[in-house]
Amino acid sequence: MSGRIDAERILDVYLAPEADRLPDRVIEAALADIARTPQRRALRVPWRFPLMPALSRATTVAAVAVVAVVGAGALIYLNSTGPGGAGSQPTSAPTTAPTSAATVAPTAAPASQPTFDPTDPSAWATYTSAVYGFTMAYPSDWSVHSRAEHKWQPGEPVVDDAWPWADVFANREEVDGDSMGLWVFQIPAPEGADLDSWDGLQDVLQETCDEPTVNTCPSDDPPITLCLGEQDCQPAIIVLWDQEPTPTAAFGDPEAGTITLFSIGRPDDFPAAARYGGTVALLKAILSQLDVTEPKPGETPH
Amino acid sequence: MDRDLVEQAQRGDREAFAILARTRGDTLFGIARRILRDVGLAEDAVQQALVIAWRELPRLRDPDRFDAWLQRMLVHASYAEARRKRAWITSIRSLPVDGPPAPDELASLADRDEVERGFQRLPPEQRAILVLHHYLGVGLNEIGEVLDIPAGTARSRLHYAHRAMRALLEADARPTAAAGGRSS
Repeated sequence: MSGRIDAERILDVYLAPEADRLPDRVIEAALADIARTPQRRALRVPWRFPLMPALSRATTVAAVAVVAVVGAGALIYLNSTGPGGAGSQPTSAPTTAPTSAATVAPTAAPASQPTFDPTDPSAWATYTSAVYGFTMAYPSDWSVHSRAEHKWQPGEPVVDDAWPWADVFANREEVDGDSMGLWVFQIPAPEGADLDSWDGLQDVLQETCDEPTVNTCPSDDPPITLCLGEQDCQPAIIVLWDQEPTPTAAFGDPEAGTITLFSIGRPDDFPAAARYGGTVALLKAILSQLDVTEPKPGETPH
Repeated sequence: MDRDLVEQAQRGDREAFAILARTRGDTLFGIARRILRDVGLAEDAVQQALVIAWRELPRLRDPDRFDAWLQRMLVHASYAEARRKRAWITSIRSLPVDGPPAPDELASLADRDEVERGFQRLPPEQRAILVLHHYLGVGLNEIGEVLDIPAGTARSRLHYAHRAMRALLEADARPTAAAGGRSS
């Protein structure tokens, strides 16, 4: 042989554009299929959190009755949880706490405390995922909405309003019929993923973001960089998804080959986030209970 | 205009989607035909990709990225067809390679069958990235968008695909050269 084969030039010719013509019958067959095919709902990491399917109407009626009976005591509690804090007028109080108490069983019991502060981590409830095994704390104005039933797996079809691969938490202060959710789950690290750097974590999120059960991608903004651990800095990041400014946090476990994700729904102006200063701040508060904090000046992973 | 059509289709407008499908059909077919090297399978892949695209369209984040997204559906449908072919078809009905006149280098490889054989021995993932690069002529960023991988990963995958193709061609050419040497 006179030299190395120029594969690129050969492929330029071999794969060169020609007059490709798709037969009309193929398009017609596809359109016939489409006529019988419903579209899926635009369900990304879901910040829309329809609670009614999880609540029977009877339960809701019962919760309303509880409001009426409990009366002023509950309203004190509710006032103290709202954006106005203690001293707000009873008429501004949402009906969230009684509803929550009637439908879920949070392990914290702050309602009896008249000066309850949901941002105080000392009052937060702890939660251990039966599927993933992690333990975390969540704000005491939130509750467990649904528990993970199995581990996340690639390509799993999405069933609307059900997230069996995630432990899901809810804050039930509604705005226009929606409330906030927090989805916590783990995904296996893709082969070759770099879990020891912030960039590596972002690459992982970029690679997995079109999975049906993740299905939204980080924006082009640089991630918020964080460190897991007080001694060594194991990288953690918060990224904002590209469609709405809702954040997802991620940190990896190189030994287990997993990445834990915290996706929080709804923009900053929802009360459950506003009282922290926004969804990113709320997420940081939750992560801080797992020793995920801002890096020290000049600190980088390992 | 296309953005409007995509947004209409996202809201369930089948007529809008039909326009999008018709205007993209030939390109999709060209991609699938080259990845799969089989007209029938390519047609099936396009049909399947269009149906999946319709179903998933409301989840497309940016209507301006419709084409890359649709091509991603097609590439995945082509992978599925390639797997199906591997499972069910033992004799591959190859495409006639009747493109533009070959330059000397391609002719010097004795015949196009060698190229065809080599290309078909590549895994579908490598065929796909080569088709996107050499047929569509798009850059690494666009390839990354279609394949849903970072541009850097696209670069390395393209490099490995070229290397694999070169190795296959060289391996195919070697016995011929050796045989020629013995006969002379």
